Amino acid sequence: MSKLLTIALKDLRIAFSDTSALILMLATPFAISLAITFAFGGLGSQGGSGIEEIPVTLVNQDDGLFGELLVETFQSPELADLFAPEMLSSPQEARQRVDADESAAAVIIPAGFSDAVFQELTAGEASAEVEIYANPTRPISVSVVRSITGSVLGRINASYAAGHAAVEGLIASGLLDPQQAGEVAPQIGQRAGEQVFNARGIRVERVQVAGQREEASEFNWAGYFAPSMAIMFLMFTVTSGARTLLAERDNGTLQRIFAAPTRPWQMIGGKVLGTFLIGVLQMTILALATRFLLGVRWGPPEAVAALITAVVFAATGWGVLLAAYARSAGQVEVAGTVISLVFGAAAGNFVPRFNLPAWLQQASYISPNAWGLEGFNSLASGGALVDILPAIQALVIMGAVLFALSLLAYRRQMV
Amino acid sequence: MSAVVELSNLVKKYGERTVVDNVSFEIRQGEIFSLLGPNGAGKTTILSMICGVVQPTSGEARIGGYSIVREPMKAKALLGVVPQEIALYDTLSARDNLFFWGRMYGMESARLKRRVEEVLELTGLRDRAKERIKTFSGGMKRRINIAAGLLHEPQILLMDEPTVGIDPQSRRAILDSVKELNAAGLTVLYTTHYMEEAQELSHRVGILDYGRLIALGTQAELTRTVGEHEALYLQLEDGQMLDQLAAELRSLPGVLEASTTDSQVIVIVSEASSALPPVLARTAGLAFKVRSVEIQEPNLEAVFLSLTGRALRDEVE
Repeated sequence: MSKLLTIALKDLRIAFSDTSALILMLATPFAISLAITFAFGGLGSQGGSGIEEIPVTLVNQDDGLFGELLVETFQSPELADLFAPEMLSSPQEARQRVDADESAAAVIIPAGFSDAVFQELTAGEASAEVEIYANPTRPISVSVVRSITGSVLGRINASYAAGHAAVEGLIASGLLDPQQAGEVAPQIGQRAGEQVFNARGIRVERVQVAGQREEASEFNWAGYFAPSMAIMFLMFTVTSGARTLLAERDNGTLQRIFAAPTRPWQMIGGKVLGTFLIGVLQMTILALATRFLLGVRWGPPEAVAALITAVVFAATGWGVLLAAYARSAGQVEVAGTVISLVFGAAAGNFVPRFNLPAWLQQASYISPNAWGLEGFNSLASGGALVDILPAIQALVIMGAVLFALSLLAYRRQMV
Repeated sequence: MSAVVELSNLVKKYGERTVVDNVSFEIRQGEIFSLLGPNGAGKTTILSMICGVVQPTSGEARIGGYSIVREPMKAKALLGVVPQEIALYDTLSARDNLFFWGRMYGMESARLKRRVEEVLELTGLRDRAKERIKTFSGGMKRRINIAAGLLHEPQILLMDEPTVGIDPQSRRAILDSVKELNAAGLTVLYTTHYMEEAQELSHRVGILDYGRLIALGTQAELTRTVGEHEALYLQLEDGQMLDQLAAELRSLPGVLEASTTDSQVIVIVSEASSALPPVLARTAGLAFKVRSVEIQEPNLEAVFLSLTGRALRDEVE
C-alpha cells in the first residue's frame, strides 16, 4: 500500500511543481470564470441575464372581464421589471411588430373571449383561445410570456372549479333548489371571475424555462461558469494524468518500477490514485478561489465536497479508459483533448445548458460534465446533499463501469 | 564461487520472431560478467527477463535461488537495475528521485536517508542534490541513474549499456566505479557492444549474436578458440570500397578472415610478420590508401569475427 501511495504522491508532486500544468489546471479556468464574471455581472453580484423588460405587444378586442384581467396582469407593477407592454388595437399591426423583432410576442385576445370562457366553463360548448404570436429568435422571452398567460388562464379555471363546487354544495345541502341552479350559477360564476380579477397579483419568482428551474430574471453567470470551467479543465487534467502512464512506459520509468519489487496493482493503483488526487485538489482549489475571490456561491461545503469527489472519480475513469486502449501517450493526448471539448460543448460548459437542444442535454449524460454541472447548479440555487444524490450515484456508477472496462484492457497495455 | 544468477534455456519470442534463443549461463558471486554483442543481439531482452520486466516464453531465470517468475518479489529485491535510458523524473530533484526509487525497494526511512546521502557523495553530486534532473548534463544524469540502482545495496547489479552516448570522461568514471563496486563485493552483469569495455571489466564474457549465446568463458578461454592468430587493423582513407578489398584479402595465403568497419579492414592472420607484406602489396595494388596499420594479439573482436564472419562494430548504430 505504501508503494501505491508513494507513486500517487510522486505524481501529485510532479503535477503541482510543473508551471505549465498549473496554468492549465488552475490559472486558465479561474481566468475564464473571472472574465465571465466581469463581462456579465461584476464581482460578487448575481449578474442579470438580459431577460428583463421583455417587449410584449397586447391586443385586447374583448370587452369582458377576462380580457381585461390578462392585460392588467402584463401591465401590473409587480411585473414592471420583467415586461415592457405595448397596447395596440390591430392584431395585424401587432404581428408586424413581432416580425420586425420589435416585440418578443404579441398576445392577441379575440372579441368575445370572456363570453367564450364563461360558456366553456359552464357548458363546455365554446372554445376560448388567446393567440400568442411568438418571435422565434427570442425563445426564452416567449416562454416567459406563455408562462404568464398560462398562469392567468389557470387561475380562471381554478375559480370556475370553486364556483362549480359552491353550486353543487348548495344543492346537496338543500339550500338551493336544483330548478333554480340555472339562474344562480351565472351569478356565482360572475363573482368567481371578480375574485380572479381581484387576485391578479401573480408572482413569477420561478418560471419553467426548458425544464430548468431558474429565476428567469436572475441567471447567475459566475455561479454557472465557475463549476463549468472547473469540470471542463478537470477533464483535461485527468486525461493528461492518464497520459503519464504511457509516458512512463516510453521513458523507461515504468519498466524501472516493475524491475523493483512492485506489483502491477500497486503501479496502476498509484497512477490512478495520483490522477484522482490531482483532480480533487484542482477542483477544490478552484471552488475555494472562485468562492472567496469572485464571490461565487457553490452551496453547502459537505455537499460540494461529495460532488467534487464523485465528479473526479467518474472523470478519472474516462482518463484511465483512454490510457488502457491507447497505444501511445500522443494518442491519449489527442483523444483526451477531443473528449474534453466534446463533453464540454455537449454538457453546456460553454453556453448555459438549458439553451441546448433537449436531445443534446440527454446525450450529454454520458459525460461527468453534465451530471456535475447539474449537481453544482442545484447546490448553488439552494439545493442540499439529498438533492444531488442521484447525480452522485450516476457518477459513481459511471466511474465503476469505466474502471472495469479499463482493467480488461490493461493486460494488453502493460509491458 | 556459487552462482547468484542462473539462466536455463531462456527463450523469448515475439510472434514468430525469436529474440532470445535458448540461452543458458550462470553468473558467479563477486564476478563481473559481460554480455557482449551487437545491437539487436538480445542483450537488453535477457536483462529484462532477469529482472522480471519481460516474461520469458520458456526457460527460467533464478536470482539468488529464487525464480523470477514464481517468486518475483524475493528475486527482485536482490537486484539493482541500471537501465540503458535515463529512467528518472526530470522535474523532480536528484534527491527526490533517489528517495522515490529507494521507497520502491521498500527501504525504511532512516536507512533511506543515510543511503541517499552516501550515493550522492559517491556520485559527487551532493551539492546539486536539490536541483531538478532536467538541469543536469548527460553524464550527471547517468551518475544519478546508476546511483538509483545502488541505493538499496543490492547483491547483483544489472547494467544495460551504461556508457552509451556519453563523453569519454564520464565513461571513464563509470568504468572505474564498476570496478570499485565489484572490488567491494558486488556482482555485476554488464551488457555492452564495446569490446574494449568487456575486455577491461570482465572476469567472464558471454558473446551474443541474433539471440544466441555463441561463446562463453574468460577472455583467455575465448581468444584461445581463435587459435594463435593475430589481427591486422588497416586504417584506410574514407570513401573507399572496403568490402571489395576485404574480399580480395581473403584470397591471400595466411589470411583466415577479413571484415570491415567504417574505415577499417580487420584481417585475421596466422602470423602477422609473414602475412603483412602481401596484404599491404595487394591493398596498394588495388589503389587503396593505407593511413595506418596496427597488429594486435587475439582479442574479443577477433573472436566475434571468427565466429560470425562480421565485425562487432558493423552492427553498431
